[in-house]
Parts: sequence; structure tokens; C-alpha cells
Amino acid sequence: MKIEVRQVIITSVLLAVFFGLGVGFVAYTHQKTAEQIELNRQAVLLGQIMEVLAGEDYDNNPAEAPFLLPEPRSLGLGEPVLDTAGEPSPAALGRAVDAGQAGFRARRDGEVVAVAIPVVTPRGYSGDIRLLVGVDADGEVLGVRVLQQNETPGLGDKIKADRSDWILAFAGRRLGDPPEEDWKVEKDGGVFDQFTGATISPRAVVGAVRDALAYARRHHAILFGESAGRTTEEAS
Amino acid sequence: MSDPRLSDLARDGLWKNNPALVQVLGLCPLLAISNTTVNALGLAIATLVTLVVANGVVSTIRDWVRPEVRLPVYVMVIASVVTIIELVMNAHFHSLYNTLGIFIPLIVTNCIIIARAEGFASRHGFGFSVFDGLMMGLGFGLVLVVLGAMREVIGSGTLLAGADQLFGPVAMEWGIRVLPEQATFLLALMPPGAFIALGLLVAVKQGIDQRASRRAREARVAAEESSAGAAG
Repeated sequence: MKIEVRQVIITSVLLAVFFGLGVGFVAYTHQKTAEQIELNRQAVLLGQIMEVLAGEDYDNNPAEAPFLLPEPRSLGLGEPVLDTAGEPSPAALGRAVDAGQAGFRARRDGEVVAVAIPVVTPRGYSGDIRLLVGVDADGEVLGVRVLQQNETPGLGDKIKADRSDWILAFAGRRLGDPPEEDWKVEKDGGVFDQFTGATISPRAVVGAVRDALAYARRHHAILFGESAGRTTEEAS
Repeated sequence: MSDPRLSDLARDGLWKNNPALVQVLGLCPLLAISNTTVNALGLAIATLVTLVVANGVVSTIRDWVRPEVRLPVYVMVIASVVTIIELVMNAHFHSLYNTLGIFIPLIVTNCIIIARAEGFASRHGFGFSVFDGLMMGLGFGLVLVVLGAMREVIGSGTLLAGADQLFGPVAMEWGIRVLPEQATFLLALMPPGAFIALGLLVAVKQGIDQRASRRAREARVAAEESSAGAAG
């Protein structure tokens, strides 16, 4: 009996030692790579934002100017992770960025000239399609890019900019050009092309971009008004 | 246990007991990620490194690990190794990391790794275990890359597209177009294509093996006949 207890203790201590070593090595590597991983993540994010804001003249780093999106549900972004009332703390804002519920502001001379906002549509052929839409203060699309999709390779995935030029056709459009009822693929009587063999993915993307523009118009004051709010504060 | 011969280990890993074609282990990453050569190569290298390191570590600690707790310890070793590889890839091969995504952490669950740790490394010395890991990893990786190349050529008509994800900007131009886009066959990129391609590879291997054993039998029969003739 006594020997058994000793065995158990020795075994548990050994187990603990091995686990400690394993955790130690992982923690060490994590510490060594964390900075580089964060840099990579930022670079990817900035690259995506710069692509959807192409053509706009701004002088800040939009990746460092995130803001909390009101009503994330209407963009298909899921339940809000933060209460939208009041100015969130930087840590809370970071959580919103991680959850994909933050937009990014591009400023020129302190004035917001464009925003990049994410939008998710569940109407893709297989799973959600996540997009980033760049909109300027007049409600004009600067660019749209796919952040995440699972569409059929070779068919639906032509919505990606590296597979075809299709997604570039949104640049310069706005609600009203074409009129809102024509924001559809040609097959549904709209003005946007679909491509051979795939209607569902383009239809989903067109709908999502239209939703994002409607959202930007509805929340124009919050999205673009931050600097205006600040100037009135300074004035008073 | 007597030491195995290195040539036997090599033949086992690469051909006779190939993890993918004969043991049919690790099918989930094998089939899911082999849609382009570069993806396949990336996962092959990650799996190879995991196998070698896990085998080496398990072999080193095999005398201290009691049999009752060896499985949790092996799983912990493998999980740590894979997590470290994942972090390093995330830091230094970020776009490839994004493409491979969930399949890097899933290496932990690739049965071939625990199978080699338990079945080989826990009973053999460090050198043999590392060599076995290397050969098993190569055998698995070769099948993965061949599968990836087959599916990429047939499905997208390209070869080595996106090589810069793995080799950096020098490899920007490595991708070549083998077939015109109209001549590609989408099925090859889809899950059924993966099963069909793997089935073809298994069949080819079986065919080669059977032909070799038939040749050997014929040679033996011929030798017996000639010796019988000499005796008569």
C-alpha cells in the first residue's frame, strides 16, 4: 500500500515536471514571437484598409484609428461586444477590433474623409462572406475587398480581387448611382455583372455592399462626425 | 529491442509502410489542404518538423516516463511542439499561416505523430527515432506534395502558384500555367477530387508492388526450373 502511494506521488511529480517544461517552452516562444505576430497582423490589416481606401487622400494611419461601430447587427457582425453608449476605453476598443466590430477612419487635416467598415453576409454559397467596404464622406464607394470567404474555388471565389477584377466595379458607385432598386446583379434586373456559373456569390456581395452604404448613410453623423463634434467642443 | 537497420527505416517510411498510402493516417489534413502545391508543401514541412522533434523528445525522455502516464506526456510533447511551430510560422510565414489556418494546430491530432511516438520512439534510441521521424515525415510529405501538384494542375491549371508565401518575394514568378483556364477541371479542387486523387495514388503504388512481387515470383520459378533442369 505504502509503495503504491509512493509510486503515485513520483508519477504525478514527473507528470507535473514534464507539463511544466512544455508550458515553459511554449511560453518562451510566445514571448519571443508575440511582437512580430502583432506587427504582421497590423500590416495585413493596414494593407486591407489601404486597398479599400485607394484613391482617397488621407494623412493618418487608419489602422490606428479604429472606432466602435454602432448597431453591429445591421452589418451582420453579430451581437455587440460593447455597449455603444459613451467613449470606449482603448482596451475595450481593442476587443471590438478583435471581434470585427470596429471601423477605421481616414483623416485629412484632422477631418474624417473616409471610413472602412466591415460587413458580413450569410447569403454566400457556402458560409459567411466578410467584406471590407471603403466609403467616403459623400457616400461614394472607394473600394471593396473580401476578407473571408468559402465560396467554390474557380467559381464563386472570383469575388476576390486576386481571382478577377469583378469586385473593382464597385469603386465610384453610391446609393443612387445606380438607384437603390438597381443594386442587384444583372440576372435579378440590376446593373452589376454576375459571372458564368456563379450568381449566388456576386448577389450576396452586391447586397452586402448596398447594406453597408445604407448603414453609412444612416449613421453618417457618428461615422464622419467625430471631428465635427470635436471642433464644436473646442469652439465652446 | 535490437536496433533496426537505417535502410529498413527509410524503406518503411517512404514506401513499404508509407503513412499516407499504406497506414492511411492523417487523412484530414492530407485531403483538406492538398489543393495547391504550396499549401501541401507548407503543411508537409510543418508535419515533418513536428514528427522529427516529437520523436526526438519522446525518445530522450522514454526512460523517465512511466508507462501509466506515457500517453498524456506524449500528447503534451506533441501539443507543445505544434504550438511552437504555429507561433513561429505566424511570426515568419504569416500569409502561409493564414492560408493553412486551422490545419496547423490540427497537426496535434494527426495520428501518424502519436503512432510513431508510441510505436517507435518510445522504444528506440535518439538517432533512430529522429531518422524514423524524418523518413515517415518525408513519406507523408511526398504524398501530400504529389497530391497537391496533381490537384493544382488539373483543378487550376497552374503549378507552384503563390510560392512567395513560402519562399518570400524571390518566388513571385515561380508559379507557371500548365493548362489554359478553360481546360481545368473544378472537381479536382473539391473534396471528392482529393479522395479520387488519393485513391489513384494508392492504386499506382499497389500496382507497382504487385508487378514487383510477380517479377520476383517468376524469377524464382525460372531459377527453380533451371536448377531442376540442371539436376535432370
